[in-house]
Amino acid sequence: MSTWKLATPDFTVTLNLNAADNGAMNGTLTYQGTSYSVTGGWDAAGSVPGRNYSAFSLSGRTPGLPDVPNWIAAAGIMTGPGNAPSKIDIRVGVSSSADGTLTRYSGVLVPWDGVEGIDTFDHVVVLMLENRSFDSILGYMYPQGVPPNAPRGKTFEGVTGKNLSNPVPPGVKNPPPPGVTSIPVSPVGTDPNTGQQNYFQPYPDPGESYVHVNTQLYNLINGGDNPPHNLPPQRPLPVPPMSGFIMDYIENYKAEEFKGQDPTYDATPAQFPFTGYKQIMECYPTSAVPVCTTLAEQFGVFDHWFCAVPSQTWCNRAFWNAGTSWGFVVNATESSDWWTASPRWIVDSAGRTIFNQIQDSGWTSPLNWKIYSANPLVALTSIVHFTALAPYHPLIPGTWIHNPFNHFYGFGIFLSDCAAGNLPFYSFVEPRFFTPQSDMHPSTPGAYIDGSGKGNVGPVLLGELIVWQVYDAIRRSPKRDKTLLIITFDEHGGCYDHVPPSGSVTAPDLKGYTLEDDFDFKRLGIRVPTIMVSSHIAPNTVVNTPMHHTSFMKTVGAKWNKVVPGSCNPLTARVTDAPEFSEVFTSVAARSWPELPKPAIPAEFWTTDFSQAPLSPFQRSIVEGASKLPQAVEARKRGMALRDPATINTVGDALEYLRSMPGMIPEEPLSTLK
Amino acid sequence: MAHWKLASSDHTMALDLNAADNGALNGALTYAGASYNVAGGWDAAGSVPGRNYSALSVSGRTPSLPDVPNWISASGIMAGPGAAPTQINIQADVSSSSDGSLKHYEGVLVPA
Repeated sequence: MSTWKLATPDFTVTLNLNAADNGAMNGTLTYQGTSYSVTGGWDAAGSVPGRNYSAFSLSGRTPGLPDVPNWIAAAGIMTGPGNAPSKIDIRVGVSSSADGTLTRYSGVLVPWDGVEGIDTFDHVVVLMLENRSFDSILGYMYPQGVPPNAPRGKTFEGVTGKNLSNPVPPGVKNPPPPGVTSIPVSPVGTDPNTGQQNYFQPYPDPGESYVHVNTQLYNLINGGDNPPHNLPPQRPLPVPPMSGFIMDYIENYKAEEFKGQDPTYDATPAQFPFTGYKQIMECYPTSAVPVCTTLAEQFGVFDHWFCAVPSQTWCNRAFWNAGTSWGFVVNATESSDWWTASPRWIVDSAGRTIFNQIQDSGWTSPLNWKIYSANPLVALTSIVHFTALAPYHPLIPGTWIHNPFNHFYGFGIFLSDCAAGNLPFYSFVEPRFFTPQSDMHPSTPGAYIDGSGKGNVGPVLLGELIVWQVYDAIRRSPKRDKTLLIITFDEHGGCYDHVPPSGSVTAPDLKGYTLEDDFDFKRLGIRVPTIMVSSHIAPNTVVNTPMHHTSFMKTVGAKWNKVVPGSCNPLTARVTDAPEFSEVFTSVAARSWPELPKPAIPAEFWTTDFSQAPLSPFQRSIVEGASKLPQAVEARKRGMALRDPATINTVGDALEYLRSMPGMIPEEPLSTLK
Repeated sequence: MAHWKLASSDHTMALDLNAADNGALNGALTYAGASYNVAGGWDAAGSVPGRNYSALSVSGRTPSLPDVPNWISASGIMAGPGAAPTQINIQADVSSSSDGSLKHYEGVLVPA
């Protein structure tokens, strides 16, 4: 008996077989990430005159009953001794009982150490940025299409060559030029005052809550905050035409951003950043976001990765790490009962997270997960998962005593952990959320002061910088070849995208929870950019298979279940039914990571005073969430005077408020971003 | 137990299989005049939600020992009832221990 372990260099086919001396074979064959139980036989070359080659055949199916199986058949020629094959030429055929397709593959397998794609990494680092659609950041990639030698995916769902546009709403107060009834997708341009790339668009911030996203999907205003929440009457809902981005941008501008004012059609250079509604159809050219687009091209990009909920930050971030948002659809500050005597988010968000699963797995390492944030004491993740993560806050809950079980650290610690090879199993990195923010979130009105006269340092450029920092820190880490970096976004944030999200996804387990805005959680949110970087992902990898936020928990949960069986089982039905992303791994052998140019930030930026920048609704949600943290509650119990967060309106006041909280770890200086 | 007997119109490929109710298949494939003993399995369309097609795969080799065998593998989609298939779309690959060649076949089988 011998074992044959071989794989194609891109993991398209792997073989893990027992080959008996009598010629019988059985084991596992994987094809494009799907595993098949197979049996068959082989004959050894040379054992009979005229038998000059070792030939074999196998057949079998995907395991498990009852199900909807694929069946597989393979034949090939093996080279080398029976106990140590050096090469296999293989032909594979697959038949699907789901769609009746027949597919075939031919390739060459080489010896393989049995490490599958998902096992190529020990550490996973997730950098989750804010509020950008796929088209907004990556839409202009691959204008000539994916190179023919790309290891995965032969198409790229970008904006080039598609004549994409949205209609201008009839009767708009500041109409477009005569004859213009729709606005096409175009690249974000330069500041005509300086000639430099504009890193602020769209400005001001588009609508992003559930009812706004419905308008963006269906170009319909129908009820607003009341049923049917801007949805069409048909059930099941029709496929969204993705045609309401201009309508919603105008409505949100008037209602939320510049209250009572109507946006102009086009740019007004004197009012840079531009405020015209035309800009909502603008997407960044690759030259404006070279770090993101280079990593997406040099490693792997998912061109059908959807956020979990057609709405805002808190819910989508909750889905990433918990597989649910417990019925919530909008950020907590917009929930009518968040600040009442028994805030529902605190109670309902007590559900376990993947951090709790890792913590409870009994692994020996005391620091098997970390959350890195510019404000570790008030990390957004600690607020979103208020109760579940309380035991791991920097302070012992209800006290001002340093918590020895703390799992929240500053971004500077992330950089030093990378350098020292001390990354935990799971690192979740938060960008800087306060102005000047590095989260790529579109700016709130007035927040452009961080770029005025300072070289147009907008959130997109600072986002490029933190992506570069995280990438480069891992690139230089001794653990680089065992680390998977995932760069993603929580939600599309109202930025234009042209691909309709799925309307038939599994809802998480919601029994007992109140469904905010009557949303049934059976629809996904809009596409977001998701890039994966690993020593085992080849250049030009494009994964076309639709994924969504809970694909993360599904995939790493399966991986960690191999380490501690049962430790990371799916927390919700949404996770159970999520597709795994393991097909992104394409290389058996480790590859190198190219050095990328660091985004250039003008020197004067680092000494600019941002304290008077207005607080955005999202930033306000963090301040108000922090006011409910245990140490703040304790402070009020002890009679300390803490400012009412409702009176805080600027970034300077917000940071001062956070610093005033007992036991507060000072916010990391802006220079950490340098 | 059903008996599937189908062939391509030019008889390049012929299939003569016993199809058990538990999904097991065994019998003979004939390709380019050479007969192969094969075994494998299939699942019937419609017996599980989402299983819209009857899919199958088999593999095996030319009979008799000692010899210089060819090995065959085939996958396909069967149309019609399990007791009396009306058509099979099939793809097959053959590996030769004599000359190391790999040959591919695709075709449609109808009741013979």
